[in-house]
Amino acid sequence: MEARTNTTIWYKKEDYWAIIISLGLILASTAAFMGGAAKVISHMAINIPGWSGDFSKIFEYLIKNLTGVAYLFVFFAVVFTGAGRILGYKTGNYFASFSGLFLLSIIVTILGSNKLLKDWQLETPLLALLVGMIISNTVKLPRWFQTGLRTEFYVKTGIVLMGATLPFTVIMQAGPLAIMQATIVAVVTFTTIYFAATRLFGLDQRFGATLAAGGSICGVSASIAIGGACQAKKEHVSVSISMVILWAVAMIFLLPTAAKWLGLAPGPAGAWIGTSEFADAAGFAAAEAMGDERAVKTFTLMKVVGRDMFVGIWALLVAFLSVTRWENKTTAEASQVSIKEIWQRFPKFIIGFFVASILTTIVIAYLDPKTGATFTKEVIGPIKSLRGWTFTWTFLCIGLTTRLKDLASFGWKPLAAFAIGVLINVPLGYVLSNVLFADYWLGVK
Amino acid sequence: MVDYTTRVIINLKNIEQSSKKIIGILSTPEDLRNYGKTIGLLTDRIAGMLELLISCGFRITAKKDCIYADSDTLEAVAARRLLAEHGFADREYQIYLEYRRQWGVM
Repeated sequence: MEARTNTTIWYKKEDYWAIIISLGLILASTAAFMGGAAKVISHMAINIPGWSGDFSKIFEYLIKNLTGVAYLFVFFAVVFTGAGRILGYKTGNYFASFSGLFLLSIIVTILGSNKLLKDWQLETPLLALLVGMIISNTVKLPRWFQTGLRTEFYVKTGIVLMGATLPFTVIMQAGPLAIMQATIVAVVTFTTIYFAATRLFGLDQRFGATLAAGGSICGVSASIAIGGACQAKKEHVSVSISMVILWAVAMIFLLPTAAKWLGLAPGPAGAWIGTSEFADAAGFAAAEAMGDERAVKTFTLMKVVGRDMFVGIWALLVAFLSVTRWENKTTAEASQVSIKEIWQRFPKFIIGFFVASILTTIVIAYLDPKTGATFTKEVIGPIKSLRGWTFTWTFLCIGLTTRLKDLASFGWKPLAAFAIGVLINVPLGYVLSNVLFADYWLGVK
Repeated sequence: MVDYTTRVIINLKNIEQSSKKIIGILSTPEDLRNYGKTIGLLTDRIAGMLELLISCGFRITAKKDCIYADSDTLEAVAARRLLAEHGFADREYQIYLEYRRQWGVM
């Protein structure tokens, strides 16, 4: 694997490339629509139809849409490989790896559209994850193939595209509640894991905070941000990440299964997943597994708007806490903490998510109702489909990069502290999403 | 699971602020000599810190009002210990630690 260039230059960060690719796609589609060429994007919006025993239906669909599949592949292969090159990956390796991933995603999507597998609750998201995990835990992946397995890059691209499909008015309406719910859960879970880790199990305070951030704010990104902010040791950040991944993968299966078993409506179920899943990529897999767009929308509102956005503020608070309380120093003696911490730790792809939402909302508001409906069908519809593909690559990458053997190197104490947090977080998320604020989440269409 | 960069940020604003505080009230040769000594002491300490960091493999980048010293091999805790052992107080610098996912981390 090529090493990532260690730099803080903006174009060396995948967040910005996720924004450029997604916003570029949205702007190009909008311009094409205005210019009367909306078919350009709808052509590559491949939606594999459902099928049961007769494979010829799928075969006919693929033959009929062969150029569309080719457009889909060429477009994303070129933009991801191009971005990958600037990010520091070998062009040939990235292209070959993405090609393999794309082929796998076509196969998994065809299988996931099968009625029998759907009846077994094995729709594309879970199937992609399972297939990926089976491959990665039984076969040693060639190094060149590993290059294009960029879970975070694909999920961030998908999240920005998701912004285009969520009206900004919905974000504004649901945002305050999402933030309130997220804050309640984050504060309670963070405190629980932190005190369990430090007081109950005697772990280091910085380790406790890093672990707590992973379980309460936004998963791996939070462990990385808070670990950096409080200057936790590398090994502690790694253990926290292992905890997040283990629980996040387990929750991909547990939360949708529990939501379906409890007969929850898609809106509150999505909000519950958004509150109680630990990582964006895993959360989208769980929300998509609900098989209803409303679950994905409420998940996004909870996770991206309610939780991810505030990691910078948490980082500043923890940094301040670490240099004053944990080191027991006055502000005059302590190392300086800069307010810039908020921006430095802020996940930049969220800006793209908001811009995408504002952009399409303005366009639809500007058009007359009839043309607006056509825009929704001919532009937003295909974008939704392309978003689905980026998520399928994400889910495959989660599976292909999750090696259970590699995650098993930690002691029982962090596992126990994290598990206590999960035991608090999941029921609390359920009560908030499905009892206290259920009406609100039911209202998101 | 993660790579990291430990960045020691040495703020140069202290020198500027010391100058601003004193420059309007300099009236005697003695004042000027003292001012020169104060600035000299400040810059000497910064130079000493830089020498130490460079000897430990830090990469130096000059910015508008600060100096960045970056290392991908010395953890933040170790960097602080090193600086403390050589007489540099926490308030004389700021550490920004950035962790990055390695391959395969969601």
